[in-house]
Amino acid sequence: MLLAVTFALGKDNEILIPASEVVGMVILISILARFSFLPFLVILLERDKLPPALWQWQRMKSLAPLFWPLTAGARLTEGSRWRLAFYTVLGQILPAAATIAPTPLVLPASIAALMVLTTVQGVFFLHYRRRCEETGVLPPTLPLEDALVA
Amino acid sequence: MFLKWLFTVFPREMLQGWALLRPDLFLWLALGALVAVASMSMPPPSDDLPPALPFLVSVVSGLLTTMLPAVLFTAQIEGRQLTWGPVLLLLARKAGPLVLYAIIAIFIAWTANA
Repeated sequence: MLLAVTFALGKDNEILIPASEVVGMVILISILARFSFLPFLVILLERDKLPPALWQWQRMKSLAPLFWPLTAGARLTEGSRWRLAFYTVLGQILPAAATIAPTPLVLPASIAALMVLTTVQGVFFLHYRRRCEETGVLPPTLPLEDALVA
Repeated sequence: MFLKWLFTVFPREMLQGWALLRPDLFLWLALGALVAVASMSMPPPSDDLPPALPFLVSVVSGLLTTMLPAVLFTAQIEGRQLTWGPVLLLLARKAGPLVLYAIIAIFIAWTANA
């Protein structure tokens, strides 16, 4: 990233380091947002429950099944990534913010931050369910059948 | 457009997310406290190995808080009760693959960043 920004701005530019930091952070967050459905996919689904269009690759097709949750996660987040990126930023900032609270308040602040993070997980889950419906993925109940009591 | 989203859609989505937490609030609070205490009892990063018990509690509680939402939120939406044995078996079976895929995802993100 630093190399790319160096080429774009010139080697002696003073804003080089801050600019590369900012651009690097934007790229990091945008990639993390692509994988925000990963726990739901791995825990609730198997590859054969997904349409191949969600996980198959154009090249190296034999490798694609190994990475199906990553590919499917990236494709399911298409169209709502900037929103998910906002929640991802929130998830990165909150735990760090809790640690700078005054010493007696660090524990309650950390617990509150984790509650907000779990709420954010709930938002991710609702986006995940909506995208599953839009892409024709069956409701993710099968791995839970033994655990669910009607 | 962003400000409009921030003041209309964002609070609504957070309220919807909170509604999924509320029925199991004590469980989430207990898990949150466990994660917070475990992370606070870990020493600052150094070359030495971290103490075994806080490290183990930190890893297990971290994994639970990552994995349980998928299961509990599904049960919430479908309006069903859970029995813990099969849920814990399911989590134990999926923990390995989840950790592996998470490592790959983080590796991809950090490689792009670097």
